[in-house]
Amino acid sequence: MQCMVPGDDTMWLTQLRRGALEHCVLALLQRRERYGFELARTLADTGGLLAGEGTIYPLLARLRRNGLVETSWRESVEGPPRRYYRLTELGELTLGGFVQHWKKFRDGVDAILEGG
Amino acid sequence: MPAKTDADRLIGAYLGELRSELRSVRQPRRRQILEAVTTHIEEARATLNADDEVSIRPMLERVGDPANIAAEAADDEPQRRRQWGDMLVPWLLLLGGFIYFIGWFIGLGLIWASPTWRLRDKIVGTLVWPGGLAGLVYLSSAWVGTTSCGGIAPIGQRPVIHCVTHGFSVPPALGIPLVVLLLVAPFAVVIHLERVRRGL
Repeated sequence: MQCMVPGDDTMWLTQLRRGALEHCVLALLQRRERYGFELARTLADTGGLLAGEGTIYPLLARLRRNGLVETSWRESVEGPPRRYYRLTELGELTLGGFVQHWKKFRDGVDAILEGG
Repeated sequence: MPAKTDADRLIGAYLGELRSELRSVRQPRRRQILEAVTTHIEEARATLNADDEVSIRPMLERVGDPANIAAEAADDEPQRRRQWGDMLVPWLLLLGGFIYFIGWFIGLGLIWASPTWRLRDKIVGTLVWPGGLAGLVYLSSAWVGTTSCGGIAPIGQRPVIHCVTHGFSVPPALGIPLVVLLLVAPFAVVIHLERVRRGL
Protein backbone atom coordinates (compact mmCIF):
# COMPACT_ATOMS: atom_id res chain seq x y z
CA MET A 1 0.00 0.00 0.00
CA GLN A 2 1.33 3.43 -0.94
CA CYS A 3 1.16 6.06 1.80
CA MET A 4 1.55 9.79 1.59
CA VAL A 5 4.54 11.01 3.51
CA PRO A 6 4.40 14.61 4.77
CA GLY A 7 6.80 16.74 2.74
CA ASP A 8 7.34 14.01 0.16
CA ASP A 9 5.73 15.35 -3.00
CA THR A 10 7.29 12.86 -5.41
CA MET A 11 4.65 10.14 -5.10
CA TRP A 12 1.54 12.17 -5.88
CA LEU A 13 3.39 14.21 -8.49
CA THR A 14 4.46 11.03 -10.27
CA GLN A 15 0.90 9.71 -10.21
CA LEU A 16 -0.53 13.03 -11.41
CA ARG A 17 2.03 13.21 -14.20
CA ARG A 18 1.34 9.66 -15.27
CA GLY A 19 -2.39 10.26 -15.53
CA ALA A 20 -2.13 13.50 -17.45
CA LEU A 21 0.97 13.09 -19.56
CA GLU A 22 -0.38 10.68 -22.16
CA HIS A 23 -3.25 13.04 -22.87
CA CYS A 24 -0.93 16.05 -23.04
CA VAL A 25 0.99 14.20 -25.76
CA LEU A 26 -2.28 13.53 -27.61
CA ALA A 27 -3.24 17.21 -27.24
CA LEU A 28 0.10 18.34 -28.69
CA LEU A 29 -0.37 15.98 -31.62
CA GLN A 30 -3.90 17.22 -32.25
CA ARG A 31 -2.48 20.51 -33.50
CA ARG A 32 0.13 18.97 -35.80
CA GLU A 33 2.37 15.95 -36.11
CA ARG A 34 5.66 16.12 -34.23
CA TYR A 35 8.83 14.07 -33.74
CA GLY A 36 9.99 12.59 -30.45
CA PHE A 37 12.72 15.11 -29.58
CA GLU A 38 10.35 18.01 -30.23
CA LEU A 39 7.61 16.46 -28.06
CA ALA A 40 10.05 15.72 -25.24
CA ARG A 41 11.49 19.26 -25.22
CA THR A 42 8.02 20.87 -25.30
CA LEU A 43 6.73 18.77 -22.41
CA ALA A 44 9.91 19.13 -20.33
CA ASP A 45 9.87 22.91 -20.82
CA THR A 46 6.17 23.17 -19.94
CA GLY A 47 5.96 23.05 -16.18
CA GLY A 48 8.22 20.02 -15.84
CA LEU A 49 5.64 17.58 -17.15
CA LEU A 50 8.38 15.03 -17.85
CA ALA A 51 10.64 13.55 -15.15
CA GLY A 52 13.29 13.18 -17.88
CA GLU A 53 13.07 13.70 -21.63
CA GLY A 54 13.89 10.05 -22.28
CA THR A 55 10.83 8.84 -20.36
CA ILE A 56 8.64 9.95 -23.24
CA TYR A 57 9.80 7.12 -25.50
CA PRO A 58 8.27 4.22 -23.56
CA LEU A 59 5.10 6.31 -23.36
CA LEU A 60 5.08 6.98 -27.12
CA ALA A 61 5.63 3.27 -27.74
CA ARG A 62 2.61 2.50 -25.55
CA LEU A 63 0.41 5.05 -27.34
CA ARG A 64 1.45 3.54 -30.64
CA ARG A 65 0.76 0.00 -29.49
CA ASN A 66 -2.68 1.04 -28.27
CA GLY A 67 -3.49 2.59 -31.65
CA LEU A 68 -3.77 6.16 -30.36
CA VAL A 69 -0.93 7.46 -32.52
CA GLU A 70 0.72 6.33 -35.74
CA THR A 71 4.17 7.11 -37.05
CA SER A 72 6.19 7.69 -40.19
CA TRP A 73 9.90 8.22 -40.82
CA ARG A 74 11.23 11.32 -42.54
CA GLU A 75 14.71 12.44 -43.45
CA SER A 76 16.07 15.45 -41.61
CA VAL A 77 18.63 17.93 -42.91
CA GLU A 78 19.81 18.58 -39.35
CA GLY A 79 20.65 15.04 -38.27
CA PRO A 80 19.35 11.45 -38.21
CA PRO A 81 15.96 10.53 -39.76
CA ARG A 82 13.04 11.42 -37.53
CA ARG A 83 10.04 9.36 -36.51
CA TYR A 84 6.99 11.62 -36.72
CA TYR A 85 3.91 10.90 -34.58
CA ARG A 86 0.36 11.82 -35.51
CA LEU A 87 -3.00 11.29 -33.85
CA THR A 88 -5.31 8.50 -35.04
CA GLU A 89 -9.09 8.61 -34.99
CA LEU A 90 -9.05 6.56 -31.77
CA GLY A 91 -6.56 9.04 -30.31
CA GLU A 92 -8.92 11.92 -31.15
CA LEU A 93 -11.81 10.16 -29.40
CA THR A 94 -9.70 9.35 -26.34
CA LEU A 95 -8.49 12.94 -26.08
CA GLY A 96 -12.05 14.27 -26.42
CA GLY A 97 -13.17 12.09 -23.50
CA PHE A 98 -10.24 13.16 -21.36
CA VAL A 99 -10.80 16.88 -21.99
CA GLN A 100 -14.42 16.54 -20.91
CA HIS A 101 -13.56 14.74 -17.66
CA TRP A 102 -10.49 16.84 -16.95
CA LYS A 103 -12.49 20.08 -16.89
CA LYS A 104 -14.92 18.67 -14.35
CA PHE A 105 -12.07 17.21 -12.29
CA ARG A 106 -10.03 20.44 -12.36
CA ASP A 107 -13.05 22.58 -11.43
CA GLY A 108 -13.87 20.23 -8.57
CA VAL A 109 -10.32 20.29 -7.18
CA ASP A 110 -10.14 24.10 -7.59
CA ALA A 111 -13.46 24.53 -5.78
CA ILE A 112 -12.24 22.47 -2.83
CA LEU A 113 -8.80 24.11 -2.64
CA GLU A 114 -10.07 27.67 -2.96
CA GLY A 115 -13.38 27.53 -1.14
CA GLY A 116 -13.31 24.42 1.02
CA MET B 1 37.63 6.28 -37.75
CA PRO B 2 37.90 9.36 -35.50
CA ALA B 3 39.16 8.86 -31.93
CA LYS B 4 36.57 8.78 -29.17
CA THR B 5 36.26 11.98 -27.18
CA ASP B 6 35.29 12.33 -23.50
CA ALA B 7 31.83 13.32 -24.73
CA ASP B 8 31.55 10.06 -26.72
CA ARG B 9 32.62 8.05 -23.69
CA LEU B 10 30.06 9.77 -21.44
CA ILE B 11 27.28 9.08 -23.93
CA GLY B 12 28.48 5.49 -24.37
CA ALA B 13 28.43 4.95 -20.60
CA TYR B 14 24.94 6.45 -20.34
CA LEU B 15 23.59 4.20 -23.11
CA GLY B 16 25.30 1.19 -21.56
CA GLU B 17 23.57 1.92 -18.26
CA LEU B 18 20.24 2.34 -20.03
CA ARG B 19 20.73 -0.96 -21.88
CA SER B 20 21.38 -2.68 -18.59
CA GLU B 21 18.35 -1.08 -16.89
CA LEU B 22 16.12 -2.15 -19.79
CA ARG B 23 17.10 -5.83 -19.48
CA SER B 24 13.67 -6.80 -18.15
CA VAL B 25 11.91 -5.19 -21.14
CA ARG B 26 11.24 -7.55 -24.00
CA GLN B 27 12.42 -7.19 -27.55
CA PRO B 28 11.61 -5.45 -29.84
CA ARG B 29 10.50 -2.77 -27.36
CA ARG B 30 13.88 -2.71 -25.64
CA ARG B 31 15.64 -2.09 -28.94
CA GLN B 32 13.11 0.55 -30.03
CA ILE B 33 13.50 2.52 -26.79
CA LEU B 34 17.29 2.35 -26.99
CA GLU B 35 17.24 3.56 -30.61
CA ALA B 36 14.82 6.38 -29.78
CA VAL B 37 16.92 7.61 -26.83
CA THR B 38 20.11 7.33 -28.93
CA THR B 39 18.52 9.48 -31.65
CA HIS B 40 17.27 11.91 -28.99
CA ILE B 41 20.81 12.30 -27.64
CA GLU B 42 22.16 12.88 -31.17
CA GLU B 43 19.55 15.60 -31.71
CA ALA B 44 20.24 17.19 -28.32
CA ARG B 45 24.00 17.04 -28.92
CA ALA B 46 23.60 18.93 -32.21
CA THR B 47 21.98 21.84 -30.34
CA LEU B 48 24.88 22.27 -27.90
CA ASN B 49 27.33 25.16 -28.25
CA ALA B 50 30.29 23.00 -27.24
CA ASP B 51 30.82 19.25 -27.61
CA ASP B 52 32.66 18.72 -24.33
CA GLU B 53 32.06 17.03 -21.00
CA VAL B 54 30.77 20.25 -19.39
CA SER B 55 27.98 20.53 -21.98
CA ILE B 56 27.23 16.83 -22.33
CA ARG B 57 26.65 16.13 -18.62
CA PRO B 58 23.66 18.50 -18.18
CA MET B 59 22.25 17.34 -21.51
CA LEU B 60 22.28 13.72 -20.27
CA GLU B 61 20.72 14.84 -16.99
CA ARG B 62 17.87 16.34 -19.03
CA VAL B 63 17.42 13.03 -20.85
CA GLY B 64 16.89 11.53 -17.41
CA ASP B 65 17.97 8.77 -15.09
CA PRO B 66 18.13 5.47 -17.08
CA ALA B 67 16.34 3.79 -14.17
CA ASN B 68 13.36 6.15 -14.62
CA ILE B 69 13.17 5.44 -18.35
CA ALA B 70 13.30 1.71 -17.66
CA ALA B 71 10.65 2.03 -14.93
CA GLU B 72 8.33 3.79 -17.39
CA ALA B 73 8.94 0.99 -19.91
CA ALA B 74 8.51 -1.78 -17.33
CA ASP B 75 5.16 -0.43 -16.12
CA ASP B 76 3.23 -1.86 -19.03
CA GLU B 77 5.48 -4.85 -19.61
CA PRO B 78 3.38 -8.02 -19.54
CA GLN B 79 4.39 -10.66 -17.03
CA ARG B 80 7.00 -12.88 -18.60
CA ARG B 81 5.48 -16.33 -18.38
CA ARG B 82 8.20 -17.86 -20.46
CA GLN B 83 11.10 -16.33 -18.59
CA TRP B 84 12.15 -19.71 -17.27
CA GLY B 85 12.10 -20.96 -20.84
CA ASP B 86 14.37 -18.11 -21.94
CA MET B 87 16.83 -19.07 -19.22
CA LEU B 88 16.99 -22.63 -20.49
CA VAL B 89 17.26 -21.89 -24.21
CA PRO B 90 21.05 -21.37 -24.56
CA TRP B 91 21.83 -24.50 -22.52
CA LEU B 92 19.25 -26.69 -24.25
CA LEU B 93 20.68 -25.68 -27.61
CA LEU B 94 24.20 -26.51 -26.42
CA LEU B 95 23.65 -29.67 -24.37
CA GLY B 96 20.06 -30.77 -25.05
CA GLY B 97 21.16 -32.97 -27.93
CA PHE B 98 22.67 -35.45 -25.47
CA ILE B 99 19.15 -36.38 -24.34
CA TYR B 100 18.36 -38.23 -27.58
CA PHE B 101 18.27 -34.81 -29.32
CA ILE B 102 14.89 -34.10 -27.64
CA GLY B 103 16.38 -31.37 -25.44
CA TRP B 104 17.80 -29.60 -28.47
CA PHE B 105 14.42 -29.65 -30.23
CA ILE B 106 12.75 -28.23 -27.09
CA GLY B 107 15.38 -25.45 -27.03
CA LEU B 108 14.68 -24.82 -30.70
CA GLY B 109 10.93 -24.51 -30.06
CA LEU B 110 11.51 -22.16 -27.12
CA ILE B 111 13.90 -19.83 -28.94
CA TRP B 112 11.56 -19.46 -31.94
CA ALA B 113 8.54 -18.86 -29.68
CA SER B 114 10.32 -16.29 -27.51
CA PRO B 115 10.20 -12.56 -28.28
CA THR B 116 13.48 -12.07 -26.41
CA TRP B 117 15.72 -12.80 -29.39
CA ARG B 118 15.78 -11.21 -32.82
CA LEU B 119 15.38 -13.20 -36.02
CA ARG B 120 19.12 -13.28 -36.68
CA ASP B 121 19.78 -14.63 -33.14
CA LYS B 122 17.23 -17.39 -33.75
CA ILE B 123 18.82 -18.32 -37.07
CA VAL B 124 22.32 -18.39 -35.56
CA GLY B 125 21.04 -20.40 -32.57
CA THR B 126 19.51 -22.94 -34.95
CA LEU B 127 22.40 -23.30 -37.37
CA VAL B 128 25.40 -23.32 -34.96
CA TRP B 129 25.21 -26.26 -34.64
CA PRO B 130 22.16 -28.43 -35.27
CA GLY B 131 22.01 -30.78 -32.28
CA GLY B 132 24.47 -28.67 -30.30
CA LEU B 133 27.55 -30.44 -28.94
CA ALA B 134 25.87 -33.81 -29.41
CA GLY B 135 25.47 -33.08 -33.11
CA LEU B 136 29.13 -32.20 -33.24
CA VAL B 137 30.13 -35.46 -31.55
CA TYR B 138 27.95 -37.42 -33.96
CA LEU B 139 29.39 -35.59 -36.94
CA SER B 140 33.00 -35.90 -35.80
CA SER B 141 32.62 -39.66 -35.35
CA ALA B 142 31.79 -39.86 -39.04
CA TRP B 143 34.73 -37.65 -39.93
CA VAL B 144 37.47 -39.45 -38.06
CA GLY B 145 39.06 -41.94 -40.38
CA THR B 146 39.77 -45.47 -39.20
CA THR B 147 42.41 -47.54 -40.90
CA SER B 148 42.61 -51.33 -40.75
CA CYS B 149 45.47 -53.36 -42.20
CA GLY B 150 45.95 -56.98 -43.02
CA GLY B 151 48.45 -58.94 -44.99
CA ILE B 152 49.83 -62.25 -46.20
CA ALA B 153 53.36 -63.52 -46.18
CA PRO B 154 53.88 -66.26 -48.80
CA ILE B 155 56.84 -68.56 -48.07
CA GLY B 156 60.07 -67.17 -49.41
CA GLN B 157 58.54 -63.84 -50.38
CA ARG B 158 58.21 -60.45 -48.69
CA PRO B 159 54.92 -59.96 -46.82
CA VAL B 160 52.24 -57.96 -48.60
CA ILE B 161 50.21 -55.65 -46.41
CA HIS B 162 46.97 -53.98 -47.49
CA CYS B 163 45.50 -51.08 -45.51
CA VAL B 164 41.93 -49.80 -45.93
CA THR B 165 40.72 -46.43 -44.57
CA HIS B 166 37.03 -46.02 -43.62
CA GLY B 167 35.38 -42.59 -43.26
CA PHE B 168 37.13 -39.25 -43.90
CA SER B 169 40.68 -38.48 -43.06
CA VAL B 170 41.56 -34.79 -42.66
CA PRO B 171 45.19 -33.66 -42.50
CA PRO B 172 46.05 -32.41 -38.96
CA ALA B 173 47.00 -28.93 -40.27
CA LEU B 174 43.42 -28.48 -41.43
CA GLY B 175 41.67 -30.78 -39.00
CA ILE B 176 42.89 -29.27 -35.70
CA PRO B 177 41.85 -25.64 -36.46
CA LEU B 178 38.58 -26.98 -37.87
CA VAL B 179 37.82 -28.93 -34.69
CA VAL B 180 38.71 -25.91 -32.53
CA LEU B 181 36.40 -23.71 -34.62
CA LEU B 182 33.59 -26.26 -34.47
CA LEU B 183 33.95 -26.50 -30.68
CA VAL B 184 34.30 -22.78 -29.97
CA ALA B 185 31.41 -21.63 -32.18
CA PRO B 186 28.52 -23.15 -30.13
CA PHE B 187 29.98 -21.74 -26.89
CA ALA B 188 30.27 -18.31 -28.51
CA VAL B 189 26.62 -18.60 -29.60
CA VAL B 190 25.54 -19.54 -26.07
CA ILE B 191 27.37 -16.51 -24.64
CA HIS B 192 25.74 -14.29 -27.27
CA LEU B 193 22.21 -15.63 -26.60
CA GLU B 194 22.74 -15.23 -22.86
CA ARG B 195 23.93 -11.64 -23.29
CA VAL B 196 20.87 -10.79 -25.39
CA ARG B 197 18.62 -12.41 -22.77
CA ARG B 198 20.18 -10.32 -20.03
CA GLY B 199 20.02 -7.18 -22.15
CA LEU B 200 23.78 -6.62 -22.14
